[in-house]
Amino acid sequence: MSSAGKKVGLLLFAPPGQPAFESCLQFATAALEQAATVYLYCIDEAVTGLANAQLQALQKRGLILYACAYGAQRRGIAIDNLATFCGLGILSDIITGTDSFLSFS
Amino acid sequence: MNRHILLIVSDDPRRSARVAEAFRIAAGLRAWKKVDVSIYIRGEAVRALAEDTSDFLDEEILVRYLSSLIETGAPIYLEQGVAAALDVRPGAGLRELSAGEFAELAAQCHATITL
Repeated sequence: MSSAGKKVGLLLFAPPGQPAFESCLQFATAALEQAATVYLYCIDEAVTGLANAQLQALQKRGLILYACAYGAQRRGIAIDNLATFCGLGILSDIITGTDSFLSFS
Repeated sequence: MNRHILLIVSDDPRRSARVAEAFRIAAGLRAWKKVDVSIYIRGEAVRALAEDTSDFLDEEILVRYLSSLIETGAPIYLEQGVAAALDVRPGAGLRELSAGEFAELAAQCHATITL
């Protein structure tokens, strides 16, 4: 079934190295390959993985990447251009504005 | 009609900061009023309702947001029988769900977030 034109929202809690991180990226890759618009919101420990090479490569391929500013601040992670740092309002918009929404923890 | 999200919290608050984070997320999403949020607390996470919170990770955050959720009438449900098994006395107004009722609730939701 094609996902072309569909919007997919993903919420990721896990850092690189954990199965949920890998599963999320695999899912995002598959969705992008089917021409879906994919929004990924990194929260909790996932904000430590923003520099992950695979994640950044997906962003270059069109993944729309957000990161929880609160989570980053709590972990001493610099607010930089690795992702768009934002709050839960954006997560709320992703939940309401996408055709399907999945979380990976 | 808003989309309805079910947040499922399972971790032991004495061992995982995800419980506090779950309540923070629930409160934050509710604040924007674009998404309806229900919370289902199961297993060891029911300990979060205990009176003694001194050994909880991110205690201040957990207590703050859980209290706010309760005070603002957020739909919070507990796994049936766990509070009694853990000797936790949750406050009035927190309803226990059987497995079937939980499944029914989850089926009604647009998505679930499991922590």
